[in-house]
Amino acid sequence: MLPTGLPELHQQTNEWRSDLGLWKQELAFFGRLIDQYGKDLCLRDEVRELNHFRFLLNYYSSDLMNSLAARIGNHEVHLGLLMKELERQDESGYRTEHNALARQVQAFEQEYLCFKNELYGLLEKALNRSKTKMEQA
Amino acid sequence: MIPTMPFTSTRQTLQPGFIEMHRQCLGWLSATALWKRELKFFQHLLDDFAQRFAGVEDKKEMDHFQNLILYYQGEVIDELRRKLRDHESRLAKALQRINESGLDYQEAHGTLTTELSAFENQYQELKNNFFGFIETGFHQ
Repeated sequence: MLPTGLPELHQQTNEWRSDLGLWKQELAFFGRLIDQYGKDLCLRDEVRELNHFRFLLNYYSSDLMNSLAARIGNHEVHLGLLMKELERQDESGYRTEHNALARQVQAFEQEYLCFKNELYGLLEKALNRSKTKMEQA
Repeated sequence: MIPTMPFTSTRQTLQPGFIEMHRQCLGWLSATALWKRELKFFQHLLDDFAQRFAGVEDKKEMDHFQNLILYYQGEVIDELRRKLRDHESRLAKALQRINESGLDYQEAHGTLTTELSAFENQYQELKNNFFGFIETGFHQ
């Protein structure tokens, strides 16, 4: 039987793992949207913004996602070890690690929300331009 | 996650549980605002892809996504936001007058959380299917 609180922390860790899967899937889709609509963004500021999004997308989908996945994996291993030797180990280290991970995930969630809002705005400009082109053709 | 803290009738002991539920409520309000923003973008995307899909099955699928986007954006999410705001104002009144039964409020919070979690899953399913559908259009 897990001590009170640890099952909830384990569940939260599983939720992060699931969120990570969804983010990866979304980021891959955004990458394809950028490839598809990037050509309709030709003003200097738009190109600069698009490059910024490409950079962030690349950073999120490789570096950050991999680093988060590794940290979450290690955190689960830590819990496994804690459970095996529960009587001899202090769980405070695990809890500290969990809180640090929670802060990192939460910070990324906030950043990712802004990223999506801004990316939608930019892609909508491309979509409107593509629509105008179609109407004129 | 629904807070499990027991409620009593004094302001001091009510507050921690209420604060956690208030925080959750704000989180949901923020999530619903993002869903609305996303659906607006999906609508643009669907409009752009309308010309690319000519087959009967594709048209049917487009109609399906169109209906869901309109339904979620125009009805479901607005209704959820209304419920969240009501829930928040009930909380504000409870904190001012302490005339709210903690258990009643906790129960209402649990019901609303279940409803929002269920919608979140439905919404995620829509997104997954929609992304897959749009990707097929990239190659047409």
